[in-house]
Amino acid sequence: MRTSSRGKIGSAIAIHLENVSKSFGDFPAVRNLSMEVNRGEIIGFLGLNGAGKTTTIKMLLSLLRPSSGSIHMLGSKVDAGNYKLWERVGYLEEATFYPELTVTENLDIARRMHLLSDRNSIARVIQQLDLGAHQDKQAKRLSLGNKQRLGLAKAMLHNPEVLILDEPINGLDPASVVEIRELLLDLSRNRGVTILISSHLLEELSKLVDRIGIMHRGQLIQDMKMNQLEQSLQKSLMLDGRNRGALMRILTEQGYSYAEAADGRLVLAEGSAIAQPEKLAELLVRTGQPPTHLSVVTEDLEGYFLRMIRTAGRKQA
Amino acid sequence: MKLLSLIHNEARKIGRSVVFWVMLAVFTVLPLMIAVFNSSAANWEAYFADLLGSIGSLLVVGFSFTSAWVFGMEYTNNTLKDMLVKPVPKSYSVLAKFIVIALWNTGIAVFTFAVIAGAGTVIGVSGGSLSTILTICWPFMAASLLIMLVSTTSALFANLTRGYLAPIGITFVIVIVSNVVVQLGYGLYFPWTIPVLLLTGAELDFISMIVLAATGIAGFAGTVAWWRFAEHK
Repeated sequence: MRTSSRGKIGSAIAIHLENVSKSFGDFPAVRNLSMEVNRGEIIGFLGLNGAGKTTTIKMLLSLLRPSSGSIHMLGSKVDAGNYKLWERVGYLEEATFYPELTVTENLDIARRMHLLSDRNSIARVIQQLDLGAHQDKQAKRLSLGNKQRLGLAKAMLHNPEVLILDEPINGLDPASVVEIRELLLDLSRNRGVTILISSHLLEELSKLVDRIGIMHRGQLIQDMKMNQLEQSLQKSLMLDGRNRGALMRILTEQGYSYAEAADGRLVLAEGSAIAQPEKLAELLVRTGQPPTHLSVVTEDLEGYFLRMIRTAGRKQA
Repeated sequence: MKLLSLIHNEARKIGRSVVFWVMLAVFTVLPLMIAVFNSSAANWEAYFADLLGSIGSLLVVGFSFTSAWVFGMEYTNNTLKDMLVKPVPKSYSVLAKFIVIALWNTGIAVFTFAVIAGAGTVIGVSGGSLSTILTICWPFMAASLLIMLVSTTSALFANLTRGYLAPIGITFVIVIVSNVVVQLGYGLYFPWTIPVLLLTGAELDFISMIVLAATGIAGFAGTVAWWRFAEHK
């Protein structure tokens, strides 16, 4: 196994990407991506289709070679020849299996590929992923959700230190989503497993990850901790009344700027209005236009994500 | 131990597949049909002499298919990545596949010979003894081994084209080209016709052996190199 000369890569940092770029012909799929993921951390990868998430994951798995830059994982350089690294890394890039073989047989193939002598590892992941009722079923006869569970079971069979998961909760029902979320949280919190996860299910991702990275057109446009993200979410004040025209006149006279939402309600983005909505309520009551609706709304992750990629799109244009 | 574990995996994939039973059916029905069409042979030597050219061509197609399928199905099932991102050298994974292909093909060759010998007995081919049949069996098995050697190229084609359909198409083209090559008198220098000519009693020269060895090495080394160095989008 090749070990990086940089000590910090071998210690607290589980995944380290340094100026990684990947082009297919003239098309730059990933551009100058630099990122560090600490051990035990769960990082979520967000991005539209074609943003470069899957290309990045394939480079992390050595299925693609970076055009430039370097990738280290658990202190080792990621390279197609560095096969020993995969003793410590599990992945789910897409749920794949041998369709004619049963769940147990598929897991046994993965166990043998990992050179694990312990046959109990199969029973353990079957139990962890709740596949007991399906263990003798041919993989092709599984539901989409159970195929996904089989993929996760294969990824977790060898108790990896790093899990790389591309859309792991696709096709799962709501109860299964919660179950898998709790399983991944347990792996991270109690066993120190580092998890890099990409998903389109933004709200679900926000319940799971410690950090979030947003990719857009091959670039990492945002990389922040979830508690920082909460501070970055835009707040706005939604306002409505019986006479919207009168409300607009009062707001203009008092120096508030506003916009009209699609449903006709007024949206105020000013800090003073959001910080002290009661003052605005008082003012409207005093002027004979008491509000019928007044609420401070925090942007959701989806809204934040769309705002970020719109901003990045404008900058790149 | 490492290699045995991988061989076990590959054998299980083949043994549990529908393709295994389809191949068994094909190599029962087609040799029987070929044998029945040659039922007028006077003795065992004549019987096998009539059959072996056709059987050789059948083995060329069959062995190309097994080689292409064992590698190509990893692409059609999208399981290739499951084999690449594992803590075993890629050369071991490729070697395990080739060993299992060789075992499967050997089984097919023995089974095919048994079918045509059994058909000859039922048809009533006369004048034979066990030693006569064994005298024919050894060159048949040697030719089968040479066909396995050139079939490594089908494995390479399966990897290059990321599936098993293209190499099957290429094999049929090769069979057609082989007929032309033999007609032109260059059969001893074309990898896919050399084993069939050996079956029909031709003497192989040194260049034929070099051509066979080079083809086998190209197929094997090319496949290992592909697994080690190719990118997988």
